[in-house]
Amino acid sequence: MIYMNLAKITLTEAVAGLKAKKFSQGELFSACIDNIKEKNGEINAFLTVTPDQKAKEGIFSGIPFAVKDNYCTEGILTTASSKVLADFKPPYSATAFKKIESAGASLIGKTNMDAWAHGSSTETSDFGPTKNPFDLTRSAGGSSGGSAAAVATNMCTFALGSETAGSIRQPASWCGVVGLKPTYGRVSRYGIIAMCSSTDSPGPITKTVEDAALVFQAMSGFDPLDATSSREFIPLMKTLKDGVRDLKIGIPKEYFEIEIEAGVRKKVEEAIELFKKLGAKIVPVSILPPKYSIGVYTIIQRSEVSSNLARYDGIRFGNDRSFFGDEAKRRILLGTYTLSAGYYDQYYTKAQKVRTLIVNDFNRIFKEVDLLIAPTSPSVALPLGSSKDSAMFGELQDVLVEASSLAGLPGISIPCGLSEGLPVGVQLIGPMFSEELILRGAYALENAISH
Amino acid sequence: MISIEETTHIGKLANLSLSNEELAKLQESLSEALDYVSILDGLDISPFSATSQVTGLTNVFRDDSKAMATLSLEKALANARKVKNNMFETRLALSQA
Repeated sequence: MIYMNLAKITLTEAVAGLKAKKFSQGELFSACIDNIKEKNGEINAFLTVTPDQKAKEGIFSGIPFAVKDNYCTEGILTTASSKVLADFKPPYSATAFKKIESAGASLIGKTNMDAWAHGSSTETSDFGPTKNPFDLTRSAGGSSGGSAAAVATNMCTFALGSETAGSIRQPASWCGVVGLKPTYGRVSRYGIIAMCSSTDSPGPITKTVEDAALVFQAMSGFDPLDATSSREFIPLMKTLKDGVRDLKIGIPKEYFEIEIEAGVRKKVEEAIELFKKLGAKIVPVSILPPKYSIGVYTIIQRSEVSSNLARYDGIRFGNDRSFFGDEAKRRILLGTYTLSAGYYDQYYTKAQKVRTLIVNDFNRIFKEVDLLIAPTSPSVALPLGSSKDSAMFGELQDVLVEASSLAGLPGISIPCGLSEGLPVGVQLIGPMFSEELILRGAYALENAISH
Repeated sequence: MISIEETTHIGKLANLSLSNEELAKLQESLSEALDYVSILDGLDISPFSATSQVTGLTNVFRDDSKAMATLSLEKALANARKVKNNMFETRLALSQA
């Protein structure tokens, strides 16, 4: 074998290597299966492993990928990490999953997450938390923690996640991998277990920015089965390697005024310096203080959760409502309250109006700058148990990603170094449907960091 | 602070059976979250309309000509706990007087 550890290769390398017949599809898949056997016991990234490789002809032929367990996969256990769906085998598959499958990739397993995607640590999973590969006493982040940890430990070549506010970017940041949250509507939500329907955005978690661009292109596009999916042109990514000399990158002042760990701040400031060296123009901008987006997000998310989870009655599929865990009950209850007669205007309508304020705020900012840069998370991976007993844990963790999620904007988190041995993530946020621009910025920064 | 009676009522609306211990905890976390979101009270939002859809879609229609994929009977019933005469069996929704 040419590679000492074949499982380590990136998607881009895998595509090229398979084409040049440097190794076989079976060898790559087995290498990842071996890693799962060795590491999953302690990491708990996978809830289900699918060891029988299936591969169609296509650009990703035979390349092993992992899928968050809230994507319906026909005939394959899909639990959303909740005991309500402990034995649910969906009768159909999510569109985004089918698109990756028809590009040839081979499903290697379904990954752990916060139950129903409620959380930022995978600790609300009914099947145990996912541990951080850099330190097993810490969280992998969430809600797509299993997907991020699986990519970080080479148990798959790439993974699919979903983000409602931070659920791709934050675990990617904590596990030292790349996570792209596409524009709302860019990727079909059909067949993905609904959480917050007005912000849910499926997207890739990968080893490199170029990998993220490839998976993003393959999973995007209009879907007649999701009325909110977009007909917007899918970018060809021809500019990916063009650099950032023409770009104006904004530093949102208020995002740096919140409590951010010193090690995180330092690494992100270094990333900003690198952008300057690469020729980008860095300018300070002012943004609506992030505390407001926490308030808006809490109301909107809980309201939509209570509505979406109302369908789980244990009649047509799954177990009855007594199987909901504490966090789901907490969120259903708050959402039921904020949507109930007499409180609807006071909470839900008000939150939707502040959401307009957030959208307008970004529109103003993106007249001044092309992209925004900020830390993805205020901290590195936190110790397991940190989420306990706080009704607002997830929201406070996701303080730097909530506004962009509420506005439907795309964002990417890439690793920008270590702080005391743990990965730090830096994020770039852009206007609606600006994935090509975001990826171009991220590609330039990734290259500068690794050199 | 939300009262325990209110918490119990909301639990019923949400079709959740909750123990007294759970209700006490939920009362507390519900109040904590509502306290937090009162932060929005300080903003003047009178000039703004509500945003529910960020990509600007309003009503989305499709042609009525093509049948969308539907599940076979077998697939639709595959995950049901109880099936009777090719139908889902449920408990009584309305009780007789």
